[in-house]
Amino acid sequence: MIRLALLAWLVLALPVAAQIVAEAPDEARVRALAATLRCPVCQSESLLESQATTAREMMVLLREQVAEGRSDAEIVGFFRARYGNFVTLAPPPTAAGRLIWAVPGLLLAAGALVWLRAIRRRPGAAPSQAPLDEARLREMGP
Amino acid sequence: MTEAAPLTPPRRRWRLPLALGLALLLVLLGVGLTRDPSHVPSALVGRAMPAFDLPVLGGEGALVSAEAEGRPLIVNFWASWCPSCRDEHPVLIDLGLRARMGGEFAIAGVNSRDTPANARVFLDREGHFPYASGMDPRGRTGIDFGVYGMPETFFVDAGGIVRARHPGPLTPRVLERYLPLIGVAP
Repeated sequence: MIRLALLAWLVLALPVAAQIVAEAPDEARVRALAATLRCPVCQSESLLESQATTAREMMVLLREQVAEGRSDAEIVGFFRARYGNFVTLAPPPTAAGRLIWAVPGLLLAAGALVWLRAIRRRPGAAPSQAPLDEARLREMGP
Repeated sequence: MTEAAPLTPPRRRWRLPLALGLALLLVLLGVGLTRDPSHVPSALVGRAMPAFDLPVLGGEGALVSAEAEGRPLIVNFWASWCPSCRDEHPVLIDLGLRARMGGEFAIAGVNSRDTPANARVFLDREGHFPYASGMDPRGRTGIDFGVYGMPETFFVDAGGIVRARHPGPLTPRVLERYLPLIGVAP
């Protein structure tokens, strides 16, 4: 019974404990920004996930700039000026990028066109095949 | 009519384009495999070099980027904890001696994310550079230059524009390629 009461008390006290360690107000914004920026010294890891020293220092820079009240665009621009578009995990669209994204759609459209022309060429007759008759069966036989 | 229809061979007109498309895809994927995914293009090439003002390693005063104005400049990022920095060390010493003798270009080191004590041990063992290095213990100057690995070398022309960035150890061949870009005979 005492154990149960203790457990209940712990569970109820949990949200209170969570509030005690509440983070700095800007930290959510820092995390959101860090998740969109790539750690330049790792392969495909965000600044938020990476433990690399460079990424840690970039997090410090990020926090400083958020504390200075810079806008998201200014902060991302700061890192892009240094590491290029590579530093953003979702790079801004470029002409070549748009073309690559359009390729599957174009292929699908081309396929649909070919298919449409093919079914138009043999109207209605497509699915029906003549049943095998005696002569044909004899031809195929051993 | 009913007998002939099923016997005609299926249309094969689409086979050639399909085979060509697949071959093209395979070639593209093959080319993709030969590329080094850890190579990051530098955002700095073609733009003005970021300014720096760093305390001189093992000395007094500051290493200021503005001092090299009007002359081509080579900036080398190194650290005692970086194994391939040892490979390029003799090349840098030769280059530093040349810069000191002729004065046609300047060269500066940036000791990155290191401690003065460790850097000193490294230089005592490998040989001291004939030029000054600035200390960048937290790597902020490195971030300004978009450095992602060690060592990394930047070639800046007399107008202060970064003309090339070389990640990895310097070799005489690399210098032959990049020195002409900043107006220095290789």
